[in-house]
Amino acid sequence: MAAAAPVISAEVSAPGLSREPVEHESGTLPKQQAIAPHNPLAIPVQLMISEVAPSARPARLLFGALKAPTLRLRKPIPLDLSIGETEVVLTWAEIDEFGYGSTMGDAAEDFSRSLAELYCRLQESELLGPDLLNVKQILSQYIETRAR
Amino acid sequence: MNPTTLEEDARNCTVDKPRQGCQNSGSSPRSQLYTPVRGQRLMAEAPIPSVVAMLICEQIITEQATNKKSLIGVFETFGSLAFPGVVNRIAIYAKLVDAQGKYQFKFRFVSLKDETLIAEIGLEAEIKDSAHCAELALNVQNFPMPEPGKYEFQLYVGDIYLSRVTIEAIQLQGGVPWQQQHP
Repeated sequence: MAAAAPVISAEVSAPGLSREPVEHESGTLPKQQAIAPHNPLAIPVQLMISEVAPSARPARLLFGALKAPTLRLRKPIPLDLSIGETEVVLTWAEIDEFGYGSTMGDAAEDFSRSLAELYCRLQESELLGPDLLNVKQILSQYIETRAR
Repeated sequence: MNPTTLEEDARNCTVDKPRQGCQNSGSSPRSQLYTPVRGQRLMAEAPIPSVVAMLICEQIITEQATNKKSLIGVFETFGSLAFPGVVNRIAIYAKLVDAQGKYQFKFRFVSLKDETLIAEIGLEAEIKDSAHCAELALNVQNFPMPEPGKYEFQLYVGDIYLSRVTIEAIQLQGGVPWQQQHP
């Protein structure tokens, strides 16, 4: 496949800091430093390339991709992955909620939208039947409102 | 899978003293998430990070003194005259909130034609303060691109799926566009 071997490096860090220039430095370049022999932000990294590409779809997916700025997950949600005729379906059997799409990523995005909407609606509702109260209770074990 | 350690720094990187928070940072760390043994936090008990941004570009440059990242050449389509091809430079940037503790991150490179796993990149990172964002920056050279089509980099922490970013590989015909003659 590839003639040249891949080269890889990774870092993790705090966000950057942008600061105002100090006035007395404005006319001169900052003092130059030699390149550090070791990057202090570097982290261990390993690359594996598939020789025979296996399926990337697990039978069960631990969902941690809740895309709602006001919500956060307390713990991952276990989802069952099934393949329809043309779609991938992710199902949370405990509350019978699902998401679907042409790929696992699309299905996860659809599930995220449905879940956030369901959580918010149930939080707003005060008059709920026993089934929905049970769903609300299960959801609150997995999801919480993000502290401002 | 054929594991190949290409570059390894034995030291785990930790987030330096955060200099600046982000506006959408998460709630303060919850004490019950800490294990009693030596105050260490195990990944299984660490909070689930939320991905607020994930981008593909050609290179990420980190300014050492300030931690500021420059994302050079953000793209979503890779063109090549021949496949299998090689992406000379590709970098992935991910910004996380709510992360605190030691994590095993995985970037899985998946072909969307049949959702098969092409490559997997494992990272081990320690993030010290969940009240601030953390940034993952991954630079890769000579990354394999098997055939034209759509692909995804999927980000996992352990076995937990967090996010994805899509890239498309296209076959270029008869030379690169800026070399083609226009009438």
